Amino acid sequence: MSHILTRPESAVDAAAVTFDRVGKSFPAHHGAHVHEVLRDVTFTVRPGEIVSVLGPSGCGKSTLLRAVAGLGTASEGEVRIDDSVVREIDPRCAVGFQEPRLLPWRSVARNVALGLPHGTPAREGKQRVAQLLELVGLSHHANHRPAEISGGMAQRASLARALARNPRVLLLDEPFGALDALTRIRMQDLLLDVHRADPTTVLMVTHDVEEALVLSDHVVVLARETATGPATIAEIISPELARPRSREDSEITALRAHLLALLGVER
Amino acid sequence: MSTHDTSSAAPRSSDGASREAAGVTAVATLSDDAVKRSGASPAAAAPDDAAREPGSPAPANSRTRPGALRKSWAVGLIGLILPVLLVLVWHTFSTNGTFSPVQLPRPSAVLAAGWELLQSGDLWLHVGISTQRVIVGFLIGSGLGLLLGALLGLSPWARAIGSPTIGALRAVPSLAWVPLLLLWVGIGENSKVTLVAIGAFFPVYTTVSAALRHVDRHLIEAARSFGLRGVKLFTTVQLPAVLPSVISGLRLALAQAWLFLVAAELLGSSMGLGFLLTDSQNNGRTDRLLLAIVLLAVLGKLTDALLGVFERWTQRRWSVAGTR
Ligand SMILES: Nc1ncnc2c1ncn2[C@@H]1O[C@H](COP(=O)(O)OP(=O)(O)OP(=O)(O)O)[C@@H](O)[C@H]1O
Ligand SMILES: [Mg+2]
Repeated sequence: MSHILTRPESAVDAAAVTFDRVGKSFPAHHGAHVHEVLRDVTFTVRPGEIVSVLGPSGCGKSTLLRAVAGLGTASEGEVRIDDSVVREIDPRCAVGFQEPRLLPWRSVARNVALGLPHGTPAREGKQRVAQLLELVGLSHHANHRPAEISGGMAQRASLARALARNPRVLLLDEPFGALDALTRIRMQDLLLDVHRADPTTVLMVTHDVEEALVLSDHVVVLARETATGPATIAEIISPELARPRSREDSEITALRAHLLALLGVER
Repeated sequence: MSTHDTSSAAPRSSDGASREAAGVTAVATLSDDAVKRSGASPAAAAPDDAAREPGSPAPANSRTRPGALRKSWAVGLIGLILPVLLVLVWHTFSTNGTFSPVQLPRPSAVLAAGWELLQSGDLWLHVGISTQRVIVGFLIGSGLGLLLGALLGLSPWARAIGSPTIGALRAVPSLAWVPLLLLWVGIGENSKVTLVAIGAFFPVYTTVSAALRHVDRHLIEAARSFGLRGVKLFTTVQLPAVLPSVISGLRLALAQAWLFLVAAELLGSSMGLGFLLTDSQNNGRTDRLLLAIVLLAVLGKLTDALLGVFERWTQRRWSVAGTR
């Protein structure tokens, strides 16, 4: 990738994220009981690390990410960013949601601009948006509306919007889920490039075992013991390989087999 | 771990394993991208050249009409066919003896009646006072409707407090207020304007509060996660999202305003199109009666067209222009 995002003036240092016995329950739809989704999740993301969260659909990955952003606070335990407990929407985070969530009446460029930190001078903001659109391959669609671009393009626009924030903690919920194989690899490389230029803390949810292994310092695997019970950490895997990593690396393939077995896929 | 749930994740995790095999599709997708880049996207392909200034972004609502209807003058001409036919049928029935002149005067007689009123200056008086009542009443009613609709649409507290009462007031057939209005406000201008305002209030209030409650919560959450709050959040997400509903609420309100105007003027006035209606009925002047109806149709359409101009302005203001 030839373009590396220039580090904006407002760059800040990455923050640590600590999950301290985090549990989350939702009011159940019927009956007096609550629906317990997560229980006793404890781990720490050190500043500048990339951490992936893996787990079966519906196990609470998005819920965990939202707890960091302050969009749905933990019902048990606490999430801390550096040393402060997350209680409300936290300005140190930027979220790339599972769905693109673009404003339909705004152009792609103006949607990305929404992510810019407050008080960004107009000219600098414009430049940064153009740069980000270039990076995610949407320069030619800057003036299109979300309805006029494909799902994968919308997802890239949403990624660019989160990157525009230049956050201390970048939270990405399946950021590459809707992309074709080649674009997906390009976007993974882009994330690594951006991270190398500006090593912020990245916590991302993914369904792709290989993606998790190639990108992350740690892979957190969430699992449920019973079909309806709460999920908790089943294992944390830490591939100790320098990035960029080859997908064919023997350690990666070994870990992949292990993870797939852990997730219940017979090979 | 149970295999019950993990099975659903399996196909997605195996995506990575089959990546080599997906090489072919990836190339196909890229060339698809290239096609889009060359400007063949659906919106860019719809030539709306006349309406679009050079260099402006793709139109906000590129509704594609069938080919023959793309030119606006063609649409205008087609819209004229039915009125012309109506006048012809009217003329035929009024001259061939189907209806007596008292039941249905000829179109030309109606025109003559209009000319006569124009000469005496009464026409402007009636049209002017009616339009004034509608506009003042509409502005007051729809303004209050916007305010209360926004308040109750945005704040659950305000909704809990105010919604039942306003709902009950809306259930009162609005003409039931007339005797009270006459008692409290008197028979003058104010009671008529008030009645028009009541008529304009409810459509705006109802559409605005409902639309605000149904703005996509995901979008609001996304905007809040990017630090938008209060007024900024409102003008960035809620306002553009509800704008189409607000406009259709205003359109309904305007139609209601004319409805209530005529009701108010029929019930007691010495000027205005409603008065012209009763007065003509009492004097057997069917030509003037028809004239009043035609005038109401034309005025209603004209004021609605003004709202159309406002609609396009708001669309430009909130959905296309601006950098942030
Ligand atoms: N706002 C909410 N109210 C009630 N229940 C919720 C809410 N949000 C999530 N849940 C429940 O929490 C559980 C976990 O949801 P979550 O979205 O975190 O799953 P996920 O792991 O991200 O799944 P996926 O991989 O399919 O995105 C689900 O059973 C869901 O029904
Ligand atoms: Mg999810």
